[in-house]
Amino acid sequence: MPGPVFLAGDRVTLRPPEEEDLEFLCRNHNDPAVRGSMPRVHPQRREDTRTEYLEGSDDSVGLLACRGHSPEADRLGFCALFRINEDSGRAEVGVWFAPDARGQGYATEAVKLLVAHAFDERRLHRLDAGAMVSNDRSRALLERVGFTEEGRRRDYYFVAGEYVDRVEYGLLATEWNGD
Amino acid sequence: MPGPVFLRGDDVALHTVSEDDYAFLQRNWNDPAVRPGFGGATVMHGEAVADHVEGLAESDEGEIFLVCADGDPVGEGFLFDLDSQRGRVELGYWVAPDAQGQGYATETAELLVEYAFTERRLNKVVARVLAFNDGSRRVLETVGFEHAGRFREDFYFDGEYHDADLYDLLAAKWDGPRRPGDTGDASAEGGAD
Repeated sequence: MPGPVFLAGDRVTLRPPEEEDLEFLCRNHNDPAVRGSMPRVHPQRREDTRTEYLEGSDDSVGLLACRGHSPEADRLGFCALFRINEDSGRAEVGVWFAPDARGQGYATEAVKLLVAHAFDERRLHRLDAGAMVSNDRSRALLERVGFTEEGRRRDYYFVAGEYVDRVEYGLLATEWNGD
Repeated sequence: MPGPVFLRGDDVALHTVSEDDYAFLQRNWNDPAVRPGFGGATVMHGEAVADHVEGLAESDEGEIFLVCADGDPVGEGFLFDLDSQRGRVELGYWVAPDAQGQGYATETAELLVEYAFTERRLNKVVARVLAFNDGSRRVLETVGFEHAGRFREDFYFDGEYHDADLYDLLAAKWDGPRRPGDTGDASAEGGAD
């Protein structure tokens, strides 16, 4: 059973990841259909998943995305603010969703909840995000949320045997309308 | 000798605190002419000095500086209870008795306020003054703090409770440090009268 609700939307809740979520997190983190778009190319053992997802750090906020508000809610994916820099007021946004949880608007709602938290509760000023140029799903999600394409890092990733550009996105608190 | 300069004003500079400065800090923190100004009533032994300095210097919730004039230590300026999420921090300072009356505390407060707003992206600086401490009150008012309220019987000193006056300054009200020719009592100092 997932942990307590920290952020709640209409259909999605974000919750601090708990020991019981470890199996879901570890399985998806290693799933080629999930890790391929981050990209992550190293196998991750359960212990390392615990370190990365459960222990947390001062400069990141990671939350498990679940369907619905009940204690038995289904796990959908994970989203995070990381490299939080309080002095300049910025952070990066990252998100992945399990393959069977995609295409229904859940990830968009989850990222909007996270963005609202960053601006309205954490007092941040700017959010960064990046996506492989070939990752149409992530790029469309960022644009739906309101991110602006700001540039491109050439040959930034090595994926499936070739170099791929990274598209840089940014969203300012002043541009965020909160819906 | 003090650590390197981190913030530089006209008459004082705020240096990082080195172990060489511990004796100066310890002498003043224990000095009956200094510690009433900030309500200090505990014996500060050597270990406690190191704990205090390191506690502020190494945490995300504060900063501590040695105030120097012409390279010599004259006091301490510090920020504590820093809360990034709320964007607020509390200000503290004192000047050694033989260096008071020269505007050092005022300039120290200005340097720390400017730093809090323009480098640390904070929104509000608060300060707490023992009600009888008119010198410290003048420092805050000169810098631009506004009186925000009073905590009753907030300190215990000299056999009785003392109220504390609360002051705050918002980033939106901050127009930078005073420039030469601005009005304001630049001779005000912290510490007990």
